[in-house]
Amino acid sequence: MSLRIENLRVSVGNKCLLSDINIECQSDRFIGVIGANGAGKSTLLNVMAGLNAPSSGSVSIDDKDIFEYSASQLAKLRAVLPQHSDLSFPLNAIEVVRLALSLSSMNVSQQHDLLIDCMSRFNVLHLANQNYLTLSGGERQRVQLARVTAQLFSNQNHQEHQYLLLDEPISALDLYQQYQTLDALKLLAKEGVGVVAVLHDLNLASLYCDHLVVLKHGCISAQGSPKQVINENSLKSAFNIDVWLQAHPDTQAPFITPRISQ
Amino acid sequence: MASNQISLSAVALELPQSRRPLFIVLVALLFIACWLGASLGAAKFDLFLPFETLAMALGFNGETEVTGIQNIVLNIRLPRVLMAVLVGAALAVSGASLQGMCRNPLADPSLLGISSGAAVGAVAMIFISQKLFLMIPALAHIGPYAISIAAVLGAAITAFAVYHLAQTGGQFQVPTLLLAGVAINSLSIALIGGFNYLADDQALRQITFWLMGSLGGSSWKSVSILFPILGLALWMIHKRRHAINLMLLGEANARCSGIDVDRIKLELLWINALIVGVAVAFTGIIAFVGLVVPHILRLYSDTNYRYLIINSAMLGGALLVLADTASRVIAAPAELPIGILTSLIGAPFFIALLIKQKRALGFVL
Repeated sequence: MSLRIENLRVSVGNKCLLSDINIECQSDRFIGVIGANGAGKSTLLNVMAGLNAPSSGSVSIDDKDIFEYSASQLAKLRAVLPQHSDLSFPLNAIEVVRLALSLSSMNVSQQHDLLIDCMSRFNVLHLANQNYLTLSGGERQRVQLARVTAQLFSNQNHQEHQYLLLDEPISALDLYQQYQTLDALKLLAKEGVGVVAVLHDLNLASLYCDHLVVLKHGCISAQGSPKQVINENSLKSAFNIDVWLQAHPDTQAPFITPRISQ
Repeated sequence: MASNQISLSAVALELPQSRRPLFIVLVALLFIACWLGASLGAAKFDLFLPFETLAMALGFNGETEVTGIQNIVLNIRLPRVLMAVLVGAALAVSGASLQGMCRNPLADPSLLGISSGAAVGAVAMIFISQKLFLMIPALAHIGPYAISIAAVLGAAITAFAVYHLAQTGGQFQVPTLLLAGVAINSLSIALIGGFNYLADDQALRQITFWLMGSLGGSSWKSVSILFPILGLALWMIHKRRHAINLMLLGEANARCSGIDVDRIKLELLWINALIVGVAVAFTGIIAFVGLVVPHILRLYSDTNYRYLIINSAMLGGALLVLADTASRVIAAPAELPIGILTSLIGAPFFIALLIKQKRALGFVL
């Protein structure tokens, strides 16, 4: 039972955006997708979400191709946070999160408990009655995280395996909120929600993720546990950077810092 | 944290109830508007008249003799008021749904050219039917229906044309949307002008009516045709309120949340074409109702379509009844075309909205 990508290839015109992608995501894992700008991270996430169709290969959830699910079935199995989520009309933060429950049949008090749970996971409960349009970029990002989480939790049939696909979920957050948010995502993975997140901070990815996928020019250049994946050679190859590699004092996870050439 | 949670739980649970005052105000406003609409007019001003007439019509006060003024209230003012409620509600809901679908506060059936497209269809049908009915008199009684169908088709063509012109790569371009509306509007006016040139005196009067809008042709018959069509269409839009809500977050988000976005957009465009086409066929172009009404509601509440659709219908109905009553009373016994009145109020509102959006988004039109 997993979210599985097999022999995936995506090309637009003559340009090949992704090829030979094989990833398996268990529903209790936190998977980080890393790679340079334009490596195909967002394309990969869009294809996993079912927003774009692959040119060949397949994406399946629980051994069933995602295009065999209806939009509403799929919405119960996976939720997606795109890079940008804009709103052009005024709506309170709690109403934005409540949008995730639009299609569910929960009663008001169930809804209320769920909203409180999801919003407190991402530290946005105190913003509940503020207009979303007046929130800062980081606050909006956390409200959206609460929304996609609420979408999964609104499926009362909890024995199903569920997945959360996040495109740069912490890009606008301050350090404290980055840690808090990654903790919250890690907790979700422990509770049985498979998390796939595009991340840019390699040290945070190394600390929090169970499994890392490194993309380079649309191909997987390495994947495995942070210890297997993060080393001088792989980073030189994927990002063209020279780094000092160290171990995190608490967890021994790989920890990098750039080399400075005088 | 604990105290935080308690206060927030109170607020969050309060939300559905906090919408009740607005709802009550709107119901009251609609009722008062209808009452005024039935009471005031060129023939006689009397605030008790509607009640006396209703009591008589339902047989409460034992009188069976219908006085002349009661006849006016029952057979002229009352259907006209109901027509205004229906058309106002339809135009407002159309505007609200288009704004949600385009994720843009400037969408409105008249600004996007859907109304004038419907008018072109209607005018073309009047022109054709005059020639046709002369040849085949048996067709004459389908006249009103043929005009409605032509108007719906005209509305559908312009709705889809504007929609596809403005959409590039899944995103709505605001300037393109408005420019497409301007282009379609001027094309429609040119076409109507062409028919104008060819038309005889009687057709000319009818054509002018489409361009200015009027509820003067209302009768119980037209109400009975409009009511099921517009009622059904409004209900269909209300049924899609959750989908419109989710589309506010963008099409990708809506799709991931379980909405079949392409199907919903197609359905909404057709429903809007139906609403605007039928409304225009019976009352001509009444501009700006669809733009102004949802915005007034957003000032006092928010954009949640769970409530916005119903509230828009009530406020749109009430405003059009008031506007129609004003158009009958201001220059009594003559009538001001209602389209002029709504444009006089709506156009400055639209300009204010443009200035506000220009400031907020920093885009240059």
